[in-house]
Parts: sequence; C-alpha cells; structure tokens
Amino acid sequence: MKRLLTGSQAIARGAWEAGVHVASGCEGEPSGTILQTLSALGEVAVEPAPWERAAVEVALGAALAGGRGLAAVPAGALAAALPALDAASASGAAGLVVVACDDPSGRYAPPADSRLLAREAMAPVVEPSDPAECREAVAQAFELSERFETPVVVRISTRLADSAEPVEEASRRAIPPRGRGRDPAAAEALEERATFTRVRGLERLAQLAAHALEAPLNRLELRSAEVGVVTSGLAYGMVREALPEASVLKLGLVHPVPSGLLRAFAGRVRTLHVVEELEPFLEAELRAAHIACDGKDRLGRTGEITPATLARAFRPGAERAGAPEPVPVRPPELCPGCPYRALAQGLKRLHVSATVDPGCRAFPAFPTLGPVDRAPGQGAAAGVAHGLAMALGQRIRGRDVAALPDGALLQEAAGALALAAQGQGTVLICDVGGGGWTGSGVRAPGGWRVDPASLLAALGYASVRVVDPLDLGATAAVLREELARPASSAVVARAPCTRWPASRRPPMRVDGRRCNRCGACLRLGCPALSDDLESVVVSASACAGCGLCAQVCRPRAIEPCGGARS
Amino acid sequence: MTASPTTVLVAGAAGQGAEEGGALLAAAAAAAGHQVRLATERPPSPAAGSVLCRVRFGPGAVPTPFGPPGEADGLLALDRLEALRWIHEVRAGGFALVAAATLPTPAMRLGIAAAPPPADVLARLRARVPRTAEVDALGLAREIGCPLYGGSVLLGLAGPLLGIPEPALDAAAAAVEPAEAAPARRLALALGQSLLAGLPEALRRVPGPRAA
Repeated sequence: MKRLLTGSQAIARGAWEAGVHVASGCEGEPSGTILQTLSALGEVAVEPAPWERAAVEVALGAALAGGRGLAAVPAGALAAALPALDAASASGAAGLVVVACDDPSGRYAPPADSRLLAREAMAPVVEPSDPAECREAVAQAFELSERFETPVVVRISTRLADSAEPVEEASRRAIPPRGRGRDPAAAEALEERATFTRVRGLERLAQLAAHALEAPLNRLELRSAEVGVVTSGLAYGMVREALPEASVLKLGLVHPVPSGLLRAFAGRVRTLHVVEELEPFLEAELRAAHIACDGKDRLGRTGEITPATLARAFRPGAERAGAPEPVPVRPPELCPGCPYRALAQGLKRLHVSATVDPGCRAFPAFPTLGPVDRAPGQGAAAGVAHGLAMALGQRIRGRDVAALPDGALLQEAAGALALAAQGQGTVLICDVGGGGWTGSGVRAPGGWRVDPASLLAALGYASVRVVDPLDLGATAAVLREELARPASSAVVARAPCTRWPASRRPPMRVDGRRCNRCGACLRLGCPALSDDLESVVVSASACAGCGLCAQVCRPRAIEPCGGARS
Repeated sequence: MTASPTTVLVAGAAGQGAEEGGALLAAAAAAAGHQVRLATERPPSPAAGSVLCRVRFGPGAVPTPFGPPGEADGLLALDRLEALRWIHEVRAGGFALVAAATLPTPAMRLGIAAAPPPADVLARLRARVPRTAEVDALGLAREIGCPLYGGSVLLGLAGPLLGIPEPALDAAAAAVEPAEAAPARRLALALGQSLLAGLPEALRRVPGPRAA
C-alpha cells in the first residue's frame, strides 16, 4: 500500500520497517518529524535529545548494545555531533545510522556540507534522491553499518525532507538485538588506540570502496554517448528533468567515492558534468583521479539545484520564465504573543546591546525590535559575550547581555556559562517552558526538562532572578538592577511559547475613539496588529492576548476583549 | 508522443492553508492514478512568510516536483500578493485562480507601504496569464468555519480544469491528515465546484495534454 510521505516521514518509516530499536534526535527539522513519526508508529524507544551530540551518543549506545540505533540531527547541525560520530567510527559501531540534513538554500540553516564531516569521521554516506528512496536508504544503511561495522550517515536536504510522493509501506521486520559486542580498540593501550582505530577506519573505507563498485545503491543509466552526468541526491531528479537525454551515473553511496565506477563512466561519454549541491565533493574525486569534467565552474557552490539553475547553466537563453513581478516581501516574523518580542522590547527600552543565540529562528532577523548586535550561532552567546566583556571591560559593563533560549543551556552549561559566571556579565534566558529552542519547533513527545534557575545557580551565578517577560515594567526593573550588579547575574524570563494553545489568552481589542494612531503598538511588529487608516485594529483570530500592545499604548486604547485586565 | 506532467503551484502566506491545499491536490492526483510529486517551501518562521507547494503529476514518470521554469500549468493562490509573486512561473496558456484577499505585509501593517489595489493586481496577473479569475475562496472557507480550507475551495474549482475526477478529490479529502477534517474538506471542495459555472468560458475550457 502506498501513502503520501515526505522525505522525513519516509526516513522514519524506513527505520521503523528496518526494526530500529532506539531513536534519538533534536528538536527542529527534519529530526523533529522523524522522531514524531517514529513515536506515532510505536515499538521504538524514542528519546528527544537536548543537542546533537547527545542524540548520536544515545543511538551509539543502542548500537554498541547490539541493537539498531538511529540518530537524527536538524538541518546544518551535523558538525555539533561530530565528536560523537568520530567516537562511533572509532568504536566500529555496527547498527548505527545518523540522518544528516543539508540546506543548500541557507534559508533554515547554514549551508554546510555533511559529506565533508562524514569523511572526516571516516563514515560512509548514503544519499537518497526522493522520498521512496529515503525509505529504502535507511534499511540499506543499517545493512552497510552491520556488514562493515561502521556508523553510516544518510544525507538528505531540506528540500528532500519537505518533498512528498506516494511511498510503498511494508510491515516492521523483527531484528533481534545481536547482543553486546566488544570494541577491539578498547583492548589497546591508550597511546596506541588512535593509530589502531585510524588504521581500522582506513581498511574499512577501502572495503567499502570495493563494495561501492557493485553496490546497487549506485546506478548507471546509459543514454547519450555525448553527455554524461555524475550526480546524487535530489539533484538526480533535476538532471533527469532538465537533461533527459544525458547518460547518468547516479551515486547512492557517495562516500567512499567509487573511483573505478567514475573512471568507467567517464570512458563511455564524450563530455562529463558533475551536478551536486554545495561543495565540489564528487568533482574533487574526479579531478584527483585526473578525469576531465566540469561542475562548480558551471553551477557554483551556493544555492539549490533546480531545473531552472540547470537550464541557465546548460542552455543559457532558452529559459522561458519571465522576470518576477515586483511584489512586497513577507519577511519572517515573531508570532503574536511571542515572549521574545517582549524581551527585545525590554532590552530596547534599557538601550542594552545583546549577543543572542538564534533561539526562535526569527529573533536575529528583527534588529529593529531590539538591540541584537551579534548572533554568533547556537550555543555561543554566553561565551562570546564573556569574551567581549573581557576585552572591553568597563566600556561595556552593564550595557550588554547574552540572551539565549532554554534549549541552549545544556549546550553551554558545562563550558561558557560556567566561565561567564566568574565574570560580571548578565545572561538572559528565554525559558519557553518546553525544554527546547522554541515551542514551534517540531519535536517528539516527552523528553528532557531542565530548570534554568537551578542550573544557573549551580553554575555559580551570584544572582538568579525569574521574571515574566510579558510584564514589560517588571522585566525592565529587574534587568536594570541585574545589569548594575557588580557580579555575574542571570535573569530567567519565563513565558510559554504561544504556539502551544494553552498559552493563549482572550484577544485584545482597540477602542477606536481613543486610538491616536501614534504607532507605538505597531512598532512591536506583531502580525495581529495593523493600521486601517482610522485606528489600529487587532485581528482577533491571530491575537494571542499577551497584552504587550496595551502596555505600550499611552492613550490606553487597547484592552482585552471582555474588559480590562486586572 | 507522451504527455508531459502537469505542474500546479499552490501559494499563500503562512497560516492561510496553502500546505493543506497542496497536500490535498497531491493526494487527489495519486487517487486518480497519476504519478505525483509534491515539494513544499515554507518560511523559516511559523508566523509569517510565503508558502509555496509545487505539485506535479501525470500518467508517466515524474522525475521531480519542479517543472521547467515558466511552464507551470496552473496557480491556485490564497492571496493576491502571493499570486503576483509566482505568476511568472505559469505559462501564458495556463490558468490562475486567486482568492480575493490580501494579507498585509509588515510594512503595510505599519502604514509605510500600501497594498496594490485589487484591480491593479488582477490586471497584472491577466497580462501574464489571461485565464486568471478571482474568487471568494476564503469567504466560503469561513462559511464552513475555517479559513484554512480556502485551498480546498480553490481545488474544488480547479479539479475539473486539471482533469481530476470528483471521486479522486473525495478520496483525497480523507487521505490527508488529519482525517477528521474530511467532512469539512468535502464541503469546501463542493463549494469550490459550485463556483465553476460562474467562471468565464475561456477559463472553464479544459486544456488538452501538452506534448513532452
């Protein structure tokens, strides 16, 4: 029976059918959907993890116990799990599959190339081209992992994760756990272990390269003898669409690269192109083998590959699409009622600059909301702000905070937060109450929960205060006091993400007779508010009832539906 | 000669139900026995931004949800601005069905930019794709209690233009999650179908298959 499944759902389905025992992953996409789907299918121990490295370690533990373990990381986040992937590779883990996702568009995550990271960890990479292949790829990856005693990375893209097609479904295979194995590297003396594992890894890759020559994952489609294309992943479909006459070597196992296969294919076509997203990974292998080809010089290293990009690259001038109409843009926005908006407003009032972690993805996109000066990356705000304070000393004291969501706490806790606790800076934690980056992120049920206030106190912060960020006056007062404190301090701003229905309150309304259209409420950037030329109006269906607009309204024209709030 | 796949874009702003419409069309095409692929582009934040579903289907192989640039056969837009944003991807002989609604952008909400007049938008759309019609899809969806079903209203109207039989649309209503919404979707599809008689003759004409 077939069902319409996205790439993420098909990965989960494939893992479930392949008898996966334990799955772990982080909030975000595609990992959230993969875990949610597995959780709904049942029979799998699903463990939402606070960060990528923990997810891979949990799955590694399952694999070392003789089971099948799956780890899923959000788009662009394999780098955060690299130490765990390295450990898995060194351990010779059998039955471990790590799902990584790249975002060549850069819309959702930094456009990193997971193949480079997997190569660093000496792990093979399987790359499906569509949702049906996603389902099959997981089972193939588990088989490879068990046969060659290695973690296997299944690489998809955000575009593939969100693409859907009818996918055949099968029943779950019963895979009895193999029993706990023993890592031969563990018997080696510490100083010889690294050499031992590296030699073993190289031998394994050589065996995999030999296997890749015959592996059904790699497919040769001979058509024209004139033009040949080496490709993989979602780009395969784009090539078939844009260059239907071309011969194609479709690689499903992209690392280790089967050089012999590439050479044989190159010998059968007159001109050879490489079509791959992000880095010239396959192209570099071809060039290293002295096989003439073109690739990134024609397609570039940024952006997604689509029939349009291929048409521009291979048939310039033939494109029939006209120029787009000039249309006002719709930038990403914070949701109505979002506590981040309130916090940004509070910081703006105090003229405080902020180093932020991109908790809600829209946060750094709105510098006009608040003084977001730096957004160095997830898990980095506290350390960067501490370094900033060390360099600038009194010039910045009391005028800069590190703002991070509760989801970043465990990433930072052991290191940067503990260091910052020894200084005199202020950290601001946006505690959305779900143990994650943001309530809107896709996540599996259950999971971890940390009380930020207890953790920060344990790390040595001299003062830890909890505030409701939706109370602008009280939040500003607490922030003012803590910024003036001559010791480290932490402010936990606790308010639930408005994506959770339970956090919604009755909507606000505007008394048109009192509204003087000063625009103070509109400058909050709330999608529920708009100016209809006579007064500001509130969309009752969009409003979450946070009351922030009422707090900034000097003529007191805004109040909750059903009467003023006490 | 083989017929090339049909490409339909379903566009809207976040929260308008474009994803629902795209999934429903893909499920309907599959129920009609077609090969089908769907790609969804959603904004990085859940509150705002443009959403686009590309649905591609046909009796033969469909290698990718992306058709050749500028060659889409139809556009179902839940918002005038979103119709304008994607109209260049539709071939001149295709069609566009646009909901009579404009969700303001942040600049418009602040009063520092004005929404283009609806008549102007319609004229620009028709200059690109003459077979363009505006219908009150969201108003009808609100009548059944949820504006999220505006996509289903448009699909009910577009089904006959795309050669998707009624039983396939009916099956799709139950195939898309959540299944409990099937009765409301069926109602929305029926409301959309009821709009067909009001379309101009040129728009009601079902195009023949295009050669690949």
